[in-house]
Amino acid sequence: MQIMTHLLPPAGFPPARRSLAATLGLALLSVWLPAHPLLAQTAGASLYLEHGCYGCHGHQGKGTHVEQANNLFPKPPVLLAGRTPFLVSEDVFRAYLRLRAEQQPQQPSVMMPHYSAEVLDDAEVSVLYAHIMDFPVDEPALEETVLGWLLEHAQAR
Amino acid sequence: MEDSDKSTLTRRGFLGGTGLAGTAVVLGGMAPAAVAQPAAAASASAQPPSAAQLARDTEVVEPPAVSGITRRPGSDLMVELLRDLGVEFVVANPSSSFEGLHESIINHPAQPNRNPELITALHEGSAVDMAHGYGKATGKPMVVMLHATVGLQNAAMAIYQAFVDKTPIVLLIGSDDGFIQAHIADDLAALVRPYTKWDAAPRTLPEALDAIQEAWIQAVTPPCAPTLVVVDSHLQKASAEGVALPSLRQPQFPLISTADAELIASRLLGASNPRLDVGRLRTPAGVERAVRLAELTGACVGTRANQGPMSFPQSHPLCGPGASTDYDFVLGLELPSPHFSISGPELGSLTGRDEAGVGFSIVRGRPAAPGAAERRSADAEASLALILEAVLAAGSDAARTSSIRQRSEAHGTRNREARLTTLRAQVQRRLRGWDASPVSTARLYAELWPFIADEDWCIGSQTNFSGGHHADLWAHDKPYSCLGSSGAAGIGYSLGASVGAALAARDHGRLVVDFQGDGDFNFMPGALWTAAHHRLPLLIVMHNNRAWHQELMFVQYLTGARGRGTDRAHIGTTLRDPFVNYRAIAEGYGVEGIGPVADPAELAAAYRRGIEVVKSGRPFLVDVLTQPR
Repeated sequence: MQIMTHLLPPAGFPPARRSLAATLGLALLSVWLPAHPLLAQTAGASLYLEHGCYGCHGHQGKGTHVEQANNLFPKPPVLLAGRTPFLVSEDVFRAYLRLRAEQQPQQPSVMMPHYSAEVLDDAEVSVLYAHIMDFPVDEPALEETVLGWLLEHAQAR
Repeated sequence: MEDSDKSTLTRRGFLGGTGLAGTAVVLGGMAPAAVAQPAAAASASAQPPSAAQLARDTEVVEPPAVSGITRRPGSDLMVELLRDLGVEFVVANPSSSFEGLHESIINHPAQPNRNPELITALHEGSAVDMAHGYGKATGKPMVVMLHATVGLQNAAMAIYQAFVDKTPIVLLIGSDDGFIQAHIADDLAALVRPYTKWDAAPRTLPEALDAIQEAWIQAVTPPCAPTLVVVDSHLQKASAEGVALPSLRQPQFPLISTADAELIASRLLGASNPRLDVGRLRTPAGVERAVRLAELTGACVGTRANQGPMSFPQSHPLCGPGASTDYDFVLGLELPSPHFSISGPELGSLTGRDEAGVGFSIVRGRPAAPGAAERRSADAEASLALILEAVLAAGSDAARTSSIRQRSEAHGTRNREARLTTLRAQVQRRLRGWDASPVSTARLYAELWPFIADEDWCIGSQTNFSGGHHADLWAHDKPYSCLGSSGAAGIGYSLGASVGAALAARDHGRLVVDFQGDGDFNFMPGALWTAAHHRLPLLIVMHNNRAWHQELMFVQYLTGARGRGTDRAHIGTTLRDPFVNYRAIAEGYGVEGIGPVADPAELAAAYRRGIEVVKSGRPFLVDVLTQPR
């Protein structure tokens, strides 16, 4: 479960940005958490929640299991560090968010909401990116879950 | 129909005079429409209730004067009739217009409060939802008593859903012209006529008894649907001396012809690879007939048992694609077919009841798709009896018997392989987000299966909003395993419907699961009290995503299309600030609960406790914080 790990941005951030992001993160935490405490225990989680990322991508970026929801939009991708192309770096991630909003403002997206700098500024993008990059990537083995039992039970019938 | 002169006789005068004066005639052919109510009610301008009128419903007052208490009131006969019709339950929120029926149900000397048993609902919509769930679980009508005007209007949306879902329910509307003016109307049934199948407003006790029986027959005859009888309060209380119960009549189901039955039998037996495609039949007896037909002919079978009630058992060896999908004859039973289908009359046959011209699209329906298929508008379940007769009459020889046996064995092997192959793929898909918190909707379903796989179970709720993972992960082998959607996608259905399913389960050692959306729950949570009060074996699993998530996604979609930002999409679409404490609500209604469970590792223990309680005959609620979908 996510805990207070996102107060500081991850290592590798430019120092100036780290400082800004950390400050902003703490500020966001103190301002937003009392108002919107839906499982958001960090600033990044708050951004992820308040901008509705979880609505299509799930609370940990695992997407949705519901085909009906997938059909509402082009199927929302899971958000996995190292696997999802637009997560390869923060710059790419930011460019992805900005591209349609700032480069193609007359062609609003129906795939995913626009995130212009007015909607989500660079510091917030940094915090959000850090939050997404910390999502767990690996899944347990089938045999370690009740799904394994479920399969065995069916085979035994 | 006995005539009366409403211009010279008030209702009381009519009933006290000619209407009940030794009349013992069972009236047939009563017009399936409401009879006009007293002219006085229509002519007076609407006035707010007087203090005396309101006192009747709101204060401790003397009961209304009854001119001559009768030892055998009309309502006793009505209850006897319901018993003869096999009605197990009458559900109601108490009312000042059907206390006569109420008293007879709970006190009739022959069998007080049993068959039917009075079930207490906290809201009329919830009462109808209970009948909806019960009707789908059993194929039989539950009776709902509703108060005139206001009670009926509270129930209206639930009636509409049951109508669209083609579920049999009998609605008895109490009517009393002596009290609150706002509860009196000339034609009560008109409030819901476009989405009920049949109604009547009888004026005498024999008429009322005949109407109740006709309502029951109409409800169970395709297209199955709610029917309605306005039961005047005075008819309930008047003496039944000299009035006899009507003879019971059997429903007449629309059938295919004998020639069609013989043709279908011939094609099933003559085909090298026949198939049945089974949709929603009416009752468990229909499912048994479909199983028998498949086994006699060695046909592989398609089912909808993981989507709704009364379809073919999923784990039956013949259920699946079969050894080959090159079918040379497909018989559709309440489903289309490229070759021959039997499907009961549709709701569109009832459009004539839409006198107001509402024009419900779902009722009007769509034209049948063009094709070369033979299609019969008949009841598949009843027609199956004819087909079985024809198959048996055709006899068999050693070669055919051997061919059918070999085909069945090949189907059995292939279908088992297909089921397991599909299941392997489905469980792999569900690993995604397995350990995520909040709990994934897949895990919400998967963790429950070990606790009920070897029990007799039923899913009473709709499951589409929470992923419907049971459809891919569980085996639906009973006619009531999955009761399906609400009918019209109206919100507030699942809890009441699950309570109704639990009533059907209570005396049969069966347990019912309600995968309960939080938005849906908050419409009529009072059904929890009904579950606690009547000791129902119901496990409520909250799919608590703290939102009306479908609508949240719609709003987010527009924020994308309009490019105006996303951080306010939660306004009006989420259940935050404050969060709802479902465990506390449950406990307030007398239902034990656990939660909120956000850690998936804690879910199995919560389910274990819940199933223990449910198997002891009490409801239990597990509040689970979930991923949005």
